[in-house]
Amino acid sequence: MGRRLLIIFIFLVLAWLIVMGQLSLIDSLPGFANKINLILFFIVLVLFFLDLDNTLLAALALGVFWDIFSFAPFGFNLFLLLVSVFVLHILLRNWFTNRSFYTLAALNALAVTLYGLLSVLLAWLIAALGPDKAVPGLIYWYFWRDLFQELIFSTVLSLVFFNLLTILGRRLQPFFLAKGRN
Amino acid sequence: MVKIWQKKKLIILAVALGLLIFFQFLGLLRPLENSIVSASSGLAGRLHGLSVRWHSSYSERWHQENLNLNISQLEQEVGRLTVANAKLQELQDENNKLRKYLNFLVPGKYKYVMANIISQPALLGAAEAETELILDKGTKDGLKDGLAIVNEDGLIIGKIVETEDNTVRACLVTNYNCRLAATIQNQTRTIGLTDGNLGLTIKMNFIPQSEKISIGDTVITSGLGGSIPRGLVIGKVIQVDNKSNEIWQEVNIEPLLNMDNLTTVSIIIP
Repeated sequence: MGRRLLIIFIFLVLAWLIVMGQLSLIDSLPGFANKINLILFFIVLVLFFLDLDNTLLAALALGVFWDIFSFAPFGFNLFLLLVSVFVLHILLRNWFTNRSFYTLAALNALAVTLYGLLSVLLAWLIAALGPDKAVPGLIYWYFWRDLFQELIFSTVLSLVFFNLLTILGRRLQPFFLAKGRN
Repeated sequence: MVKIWQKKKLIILAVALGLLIFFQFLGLLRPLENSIVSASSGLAGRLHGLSVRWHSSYSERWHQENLNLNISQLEQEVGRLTVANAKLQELQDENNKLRKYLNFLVPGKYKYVMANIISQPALLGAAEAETELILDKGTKDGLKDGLAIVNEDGLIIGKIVETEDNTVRACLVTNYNCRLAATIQNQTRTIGLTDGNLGLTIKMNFIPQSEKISIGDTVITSGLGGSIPRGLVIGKVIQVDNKSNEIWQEVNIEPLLNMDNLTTVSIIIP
């Protein structure tokens, strides 16, 4: 019980720092640098290295903090993060068989794409309930441009992080088992 | 067994999410939200300041080649403005004297609320034209929708579009959703509405062809219809689009401030 509470506390502090870092630091960076999504990257890392329970906990903490600082309706980011975690978990369990760089990069790319598409669709649905004319963001070219840039950054981030871990630790190795060796 | 557990987990999460949204709707989470926002504003301000410093150094390096040209242009501009300032100073003194003679009240200075920028949300799929700011002051500090936000020189940056207890969301003047009632300082004092143009400049539409507007004319807020006082500088006219076969003419306005270096702003309370 004490360990669980400690994990929850750590997730809460990390979630607060990550959301602050994302909204106050990264979002204001110049050029394409503001396309890094630390929140999704953290969620994918937790799912990749830990389990669904911890990822849901992280998503819950991140989503609540994100919603507090965002002017979107409360629950918007929280709901999308939880849905994304479930979908990513299903994909990880059924499609990916190992914990390689390729899995991490693919999961990150899927997370970015899924979150991007779902957020635009949900925003459109919410706007459609209001008095103004709602247009889905999918029709704008800059949505696809931003998504593409985010995909590139998430892959680069995965590459850097995974290689850093292979240097620092022994559990992950960035190669495939070659046929015919030994 | 696993599937039952997954289902149970899903239900627990859905209930937790629903309860959170419900409690937030009732306002029960507001004290918690307010304390989190208050506790975070210091860190958020510092992080944003760091980001702005990186942004500035990046911009400086990027635009180094234009700096020399800019310096010589600015030196000329400083000379011209010094002369203009001296003239205005004289006029101000004269104006003060005349007001005293007429026993008028000297208009009080605006009441300001200072605020730190804590975030510049870069939403996925949001164009640069939709740039917004999140400030660390809210309704508790007397802020409300529609109030003007200015920089330290009194140039208008944007206006408040949404308020919460401890934070406000503001649009920049270059945001195409940010409309301001404006006046061009030409002979006929043309009035109209400005809105952002591609997140870079500002445009003013539906100006009758009979109005004479020149490049370099200053555009200020008109003080009409809203909580924004008259006389805040929006920018200078850089392009006049007046085709003879059109009913209206359109002007393009360049904002006079550098939006990239903003960390602290003031909100004018009328």
